[in-house]
Amino acid sequence: MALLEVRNLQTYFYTYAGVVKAVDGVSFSVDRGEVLGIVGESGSGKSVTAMSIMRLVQQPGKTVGGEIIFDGIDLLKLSDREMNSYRGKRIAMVFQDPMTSLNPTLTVGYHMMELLSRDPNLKTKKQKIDRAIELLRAVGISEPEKRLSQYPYQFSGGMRQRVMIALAIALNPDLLIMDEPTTALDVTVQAQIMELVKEIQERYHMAVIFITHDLGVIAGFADRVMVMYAGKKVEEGDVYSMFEKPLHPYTEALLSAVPKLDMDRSQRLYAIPGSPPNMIAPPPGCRFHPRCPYAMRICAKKMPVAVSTDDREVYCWKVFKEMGVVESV
Amino acid sequence: MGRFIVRRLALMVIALWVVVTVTFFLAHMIPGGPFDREKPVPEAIKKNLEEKYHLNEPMWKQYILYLNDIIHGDLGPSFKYPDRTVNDIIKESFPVSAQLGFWAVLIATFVGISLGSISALHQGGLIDSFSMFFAILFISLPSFVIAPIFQYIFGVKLHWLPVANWGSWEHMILPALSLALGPTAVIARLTRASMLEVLSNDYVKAAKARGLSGLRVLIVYALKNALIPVVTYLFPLIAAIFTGSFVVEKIFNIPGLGRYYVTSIYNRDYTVILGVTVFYAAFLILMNLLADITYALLDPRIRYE
Repeated sequence: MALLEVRNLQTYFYTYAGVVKAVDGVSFSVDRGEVLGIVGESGSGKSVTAMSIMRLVQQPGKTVGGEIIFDGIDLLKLSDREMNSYRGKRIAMVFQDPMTSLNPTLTVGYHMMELLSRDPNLKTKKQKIDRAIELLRAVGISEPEKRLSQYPYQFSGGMRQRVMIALAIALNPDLLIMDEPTTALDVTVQAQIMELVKEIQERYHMAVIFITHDLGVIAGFADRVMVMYAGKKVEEGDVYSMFEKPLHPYTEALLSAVPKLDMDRSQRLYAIPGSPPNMIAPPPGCRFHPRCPYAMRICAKKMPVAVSTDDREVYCWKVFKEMGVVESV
Repeated sequence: MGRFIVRRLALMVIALWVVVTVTFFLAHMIPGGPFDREKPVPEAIKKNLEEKYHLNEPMWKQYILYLNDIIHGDLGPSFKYPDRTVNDIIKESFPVSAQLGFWAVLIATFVGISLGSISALHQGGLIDSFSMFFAILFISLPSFVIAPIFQYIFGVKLHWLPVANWGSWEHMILPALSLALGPTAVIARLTRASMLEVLSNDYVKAAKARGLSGLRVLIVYALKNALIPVVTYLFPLIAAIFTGSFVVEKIFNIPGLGRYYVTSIYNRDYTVILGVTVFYAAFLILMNLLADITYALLDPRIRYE
């Protein structure tokens, strides 16, 4: 059985302008020890999906439908108190901006001790301090004894993200959700943090949901990738086959938009034409059709159905047609 | 931090000197003098009196004499109440005002911060609308409107509490409430605005994602960081309220310090004018220093060198 199974998740935001269906019927699953990448443009619903799993979607947003089965239990049916016992302990999360994710008025040590006091195996203060030092060392922070009494402003961005990762793994969660953990960092620091994330994932054999808009970041890390567009899943599959042969036109466009080192200087970087859809009144049919070079008449009329092969799931009429199962619609 | 405090105290001496100087000359610029009466005092008596209090001396000499007294902690004799010195007046009436002020500030801080936090947590909800309506109401209503209404309702009509005068703790309730309502409303609004800002921070979201209890997130993550604007308002408020309110003390007939701010001026009681002004100024400067120290306690990024 999968560790996490999300079924038909719907999280809507009720704004004055109208209802924004930020996540509109998304289903996926993550096995123990597996790394799932979620990719998409800004506003595609990646982060909202993560926040929905944590049940931390803020007003005016609300998860209005679906199931989030974690280790056999539907998180959406838990009381607030029960859900709180999952957060940090079973499911942990690392956020995008390490500069603002730590309380500026508390020491790094306080952040860690506060969390470690929920670990029943650590009884004395000494044990907790030792564990905090061990964790900081595990994420590559030198002189951890000294660092514990320092404040976040005394840490650089990369170091803060290491602290956030240490906090996330402190209670040995089964699932770690990382929401663009490297986006706010310098490129060289990005690479270091990615190395650390990989190392940690392998050492503790955690399941990871890694959210990013950078396909390059995910290529060497994820087992599977899910591509989202305008609140919907458009394609999901094994990372190698997907990058080798993207089926959905959007995935293909995303891959073309990645800059390559062997690119000629005179070549222009490919950009997907058009802009992300208005989420209050999304396009009818396939939400990508106004920007899709292969759009057919049906694409503007009907939502694509899933086309599944052994390692892929694609929502696209073109793929549907090519697979040769076309019926007249 | 130690050096910062020492420097601030040194600056305080300079500030007080400026206050003394400006007040001294302003007070003496008011037409008339302390011994002018509707029925004129005989010239000879007036002359004797003026000699006794050095009022016949040139202004600069009076100023030097006063400075010399104040350096030695003597605020001088009162002209209006010949049997009391200004030091006596402050010693007698300040404890009354301070006691009243203490309860008023306590109510304002506790109720204001609680209401503000609850309103921020339930932004747009019933409690929020309700408390913000009353906040606007009490910010707009001055104490000389609130106090008589309280006296009428709780004193005259319901007989629950004494209408005026000073003595038991019952006498304190109405004036303390009259003093507290305005600041309560201001603190509630400040806390609410500041809390809303802090609650939208990533570190609050991250703390929730670590499964910390709601109360812990509220107090350690949100409230502590939201208090800085409140502290900025609170400490000068303590100085203002502890040194007495003319209006509220007059309405409830309370023997506090407040009335001297006004009566001393129309009595031309120069030493009392100067005494209460310097006292208030010193108190205010000390409170501002305390506010700065509190900032550093609330936020470790604030350091003074």
